Amino acid sequence: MEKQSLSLKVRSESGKSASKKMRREGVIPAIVYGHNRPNVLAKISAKDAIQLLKQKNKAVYYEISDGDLPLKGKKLLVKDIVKNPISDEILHIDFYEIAEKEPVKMTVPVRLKGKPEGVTKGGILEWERREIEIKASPENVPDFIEIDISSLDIGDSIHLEDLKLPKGVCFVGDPKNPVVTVLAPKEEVELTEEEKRAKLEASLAEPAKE
Amino acid sequence: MLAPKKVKHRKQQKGRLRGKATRGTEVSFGNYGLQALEAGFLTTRQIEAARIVISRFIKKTGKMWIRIFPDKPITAKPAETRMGKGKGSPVDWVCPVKPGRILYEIEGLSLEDATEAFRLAANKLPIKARLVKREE
Repeated sequence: MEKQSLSLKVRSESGKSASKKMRREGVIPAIVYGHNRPNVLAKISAKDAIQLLKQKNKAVYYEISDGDLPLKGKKLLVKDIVKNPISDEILHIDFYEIAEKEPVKMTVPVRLKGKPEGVTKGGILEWERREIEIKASPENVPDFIEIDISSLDIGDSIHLEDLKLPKGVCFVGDPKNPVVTVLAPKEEVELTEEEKRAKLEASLAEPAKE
Repeated sequence: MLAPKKVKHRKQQKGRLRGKATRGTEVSFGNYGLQALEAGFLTTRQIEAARIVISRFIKKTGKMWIRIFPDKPITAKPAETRMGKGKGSPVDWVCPVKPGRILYEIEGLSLEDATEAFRLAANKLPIKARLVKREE
């Protein structure tokens, strides 16, 4: 996992109106929390926040090089970025503090390699998990997980348990969960207008059920 | 058409659509999504009409997801009825949508096809909507 430096300041004011004022001045409110440690209210410049958003799907941790006393020297992961869904303006950032020798849970992107055999025969590639949640110590977290899918035929899948993960890394979740599947092509059966209307009327006429 | 199989209460209050969507605002399954830019109620017929338009473009190669479900009943009184005598009977199912909500997602289509499919689909809906790409 890559290490980068970051500038983060402590903030004393909190709440909706203070946060709005901060955003108008080009500062984004943030919070730092971690295992068994008290929360610290923080703020970050909007310019730095945009850089963080660009690296959202990369395995990066940040060391606070320029910051106030309780934050300086801390190693942080970006846990969550809250955005306005229409304007994409960043509203708030959550940082998670990493402790030495303590494993962290992170989502890592999946990259596919090769073209599956089944797709050349007309099958549809279904990529069900583009990110995988893993548990590892910060120095062992890979940038991405590459899967070779060239041998997949129609009906074949690769599950979480089939993945070859680097040493010291384990996945979180059901081992039977599929990551990639090649499905057989199928055409949709269209209902007639009358059938659709009958179906809707039946759903509306149905009495309430407790 | 989409409708609940079983409900706890047959009639609901109207409610208001204030603010922006906080959930279902990111493209999670496919490569491209259709994002609502306005608030409104989408009826089961409108959702179905837009789905049909998109499925014509997908053919055998692509895949689509509908990210909304109409689970809110809408009631109406019969024509030429005096006011009072209780709430009307259910006539339709709707999905309350707030700005930012992803309505449909598709995969396996080029950007040109996806743009055209979503343009035609948005024409079937009572609200403005735009195409959004998956965040890399």
